[in-house]
Amino acid sequence: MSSTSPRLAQHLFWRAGMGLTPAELTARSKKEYGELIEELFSTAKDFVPVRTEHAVATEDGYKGMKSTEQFKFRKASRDANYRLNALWRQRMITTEGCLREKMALFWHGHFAAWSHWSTSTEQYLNTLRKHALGNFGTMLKAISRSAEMLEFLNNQRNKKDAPNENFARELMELFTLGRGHYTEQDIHEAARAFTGWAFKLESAEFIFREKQHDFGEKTFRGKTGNFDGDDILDQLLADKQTARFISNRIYQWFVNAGTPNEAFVSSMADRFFGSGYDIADLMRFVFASEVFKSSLGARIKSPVELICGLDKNFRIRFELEENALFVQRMLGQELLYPPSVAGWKEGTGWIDSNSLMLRLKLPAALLNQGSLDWDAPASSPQENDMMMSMTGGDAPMRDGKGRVFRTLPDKAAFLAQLDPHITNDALFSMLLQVDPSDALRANVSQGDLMERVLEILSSPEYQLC
Amino acid sequence: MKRRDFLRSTGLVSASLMMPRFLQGMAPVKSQNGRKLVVVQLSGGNDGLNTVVPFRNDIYYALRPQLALARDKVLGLSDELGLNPGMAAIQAIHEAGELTILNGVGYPQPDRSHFRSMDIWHTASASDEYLQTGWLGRYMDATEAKAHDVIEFGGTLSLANKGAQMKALALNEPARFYASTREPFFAKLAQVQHREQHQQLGYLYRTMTETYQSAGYIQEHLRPRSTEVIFPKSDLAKQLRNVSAFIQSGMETSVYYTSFDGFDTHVNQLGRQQKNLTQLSEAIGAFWNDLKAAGKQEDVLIMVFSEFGRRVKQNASNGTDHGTASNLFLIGSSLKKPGFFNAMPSLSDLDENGDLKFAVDFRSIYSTLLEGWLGLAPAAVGLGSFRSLPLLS
Repeated sequence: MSSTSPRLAQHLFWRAGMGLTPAELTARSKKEYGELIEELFSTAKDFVPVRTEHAVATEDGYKGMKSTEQFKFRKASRDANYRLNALWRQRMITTEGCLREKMALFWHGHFAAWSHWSTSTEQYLNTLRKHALGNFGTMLKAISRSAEMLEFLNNQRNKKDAPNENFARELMELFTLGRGHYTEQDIHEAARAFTGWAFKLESAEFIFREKQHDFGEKTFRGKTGNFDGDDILDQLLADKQTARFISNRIYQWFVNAGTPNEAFVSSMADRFFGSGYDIADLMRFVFASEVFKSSLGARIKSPVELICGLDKNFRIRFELEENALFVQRMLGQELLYPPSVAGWKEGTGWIDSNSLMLRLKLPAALLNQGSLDWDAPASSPQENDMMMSMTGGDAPMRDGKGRVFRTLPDKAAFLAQLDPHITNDALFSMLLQVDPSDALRANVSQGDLMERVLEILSSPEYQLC
Repeated sequence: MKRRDFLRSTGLVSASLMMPRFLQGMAPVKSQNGRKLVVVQLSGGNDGLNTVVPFRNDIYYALRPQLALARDKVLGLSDELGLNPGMAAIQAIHEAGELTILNGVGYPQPDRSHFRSMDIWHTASASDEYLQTGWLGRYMDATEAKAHDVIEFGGTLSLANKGAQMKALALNEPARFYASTREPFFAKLAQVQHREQHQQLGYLYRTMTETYQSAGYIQEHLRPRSTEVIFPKSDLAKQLRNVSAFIQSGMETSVYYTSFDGFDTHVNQLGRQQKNLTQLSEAIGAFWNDLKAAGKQEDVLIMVFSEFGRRVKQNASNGTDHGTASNLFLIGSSLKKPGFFNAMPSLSDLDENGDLKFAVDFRSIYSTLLEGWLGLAPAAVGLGSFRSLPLLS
């Protein structure tokens, strides 16, 4: 057989990207599975940074501003962050190169951070994207030096006489080894090694403040030496536990969060460690495996995947740009603003009574001017944090209304890709990654094609990929 | 891929039928005592020192030249402590012996980040632990609760109310919520008879069914309030009015979660905090009076908390920066120690940041409420090492 079942092709492209449109799916079903994997990697080979305009100020410059000027600066920075959100989503829904963006989305949840400063955000985003399919060690070192991470985990306050342990702790707990593989003393010693690591606000450029660095001898996980930050990172990479920890996270995110598979994760770790942390090599291994190929529908789409999947098929434009952000916030995932350094709680963590109803109604809201019952405040906690601490203003009021998003979807372009006489069964195969339940089969109508499509998109089945 | 063998059932499928008991192990039984806990969360870090004011303390006045509240402005509670001028209704509750104030409530190695500290309060974790479930979510897991056993009024569900299996219901408007679950397409899917299903799909349909059933339960039982107490117009008052209506309707819900944002007073604190505390006080006053008018106050305990207090010394913008320990209020009709549970923390013995040192770990309060009020052993939610405090009769 030199073709791939539509569902398997969709499976690969949902996990490695944001799915395929009907026309794209038809084309890919004619190719072998191995060819599809090759396509993903070859189109993702090049790295083109995402760029936007920034308001620029040095740290001293900012501190010297009047509070009204500071407010304007922060607002400009916030708006730039929102543009980066939109630009990245645009890359995500482009099929060519989608693997790089999807991988970067994974790393964004792994090395979770956010910043008010758009110069830092842009550097962070491009660091994740540049090394997404490269070498994990290189990624780790680049992220550890990024302005975003240094600020987020307070490392610019980590000084020789007053070490700040926040970065060292999260580095081991969340980024490399995982809990239980280091001691409090290790954290303390590692923090000393990272003293003096700082950045320039205006350019996000890394600077090493020699005077703040502790050059003394440190004992870290049984070894003693005048370690600096890079030495610590090298030692963490030299421990196979890091490969195991990362492999497990990749398995849960890309393969199956609900069904552990120690044997497979172990083989991933062997491969990852053996290759010196080659991410692309690991992902080829994962995508080609039987375990991956049999995990259809095991993943609950994250809000970004849900939104991007619809956007990709219907090219949804919002009349009010900011609504694109509201939708992300409403569903619990705003790009570039994770809730904490631990990232997002994925899988069933996206689902509760409220969020499930919102997700089921999202297609109608975006494609049919349906309304959504969402009474929450319009701004994110991070935005409030920034704006309120500047102005001392009131918390934003809830508007107490259901929200109607005025959108401009291109339904005609989508429908044009379908055979006008397409059966419900064929629609199920194309749009869903699991077999429809009896209830869904019984309740999808028989008439108007767009109505049938909308009903299928509004099902619990569509939440899975 | 493995498929789960679900039990077949007729009619509406309930949560416990979808997940056979032998797979879960025997859950500890919660005593059905009809009691309700109402949580009022003040988000942003409410300044405790200008809420319960040490009007005899020179240090307070020395460190807050513009912010300290004058002795003749505060509402009297004791010889040494008074309430913010906006809190007349709370003062009245205190005079009726229905308020316990716990001072210096916090936890070791306090975190001064909103997100972290609120997560710590929500998950009842240690300062350096990252738990993914909330204390009330775990309460729901342990009691195999229905979705509507814990109801949060507000747009999104807090981490406090998310368990590993069960999650609370986040409600804004009960009528709109009911209507949205009854839209024909969803109503039909929610009433489905399930067979063997894909693991994740089963989870989604189960959640949908629970949502459908809980919305139906609420719609069936909810009655307008039979009392005539007038509630103020604030957001919190609206949430508490809903809570009162639910309680008066005899809903089986045992925990209600409400919240009030706006306490992060870095700049020009005085006016803003007093306005917020006035809203808080009036909302709680109306709520408490409403419950009394309906004869329901004996079943209800209210807890008011914030994720941290604020720094003793004021900042250069007539506000305060993030701090640590603060006070927590319990309102009820069977409090063991009305008034003050413990003394104010010292203003001269501060930590290295100039912040208050904590005296009571908030997890002991949670433990007390679980064991002494809701009837669940604290160990069932991971709080077994926190002994209950003598707060309840």
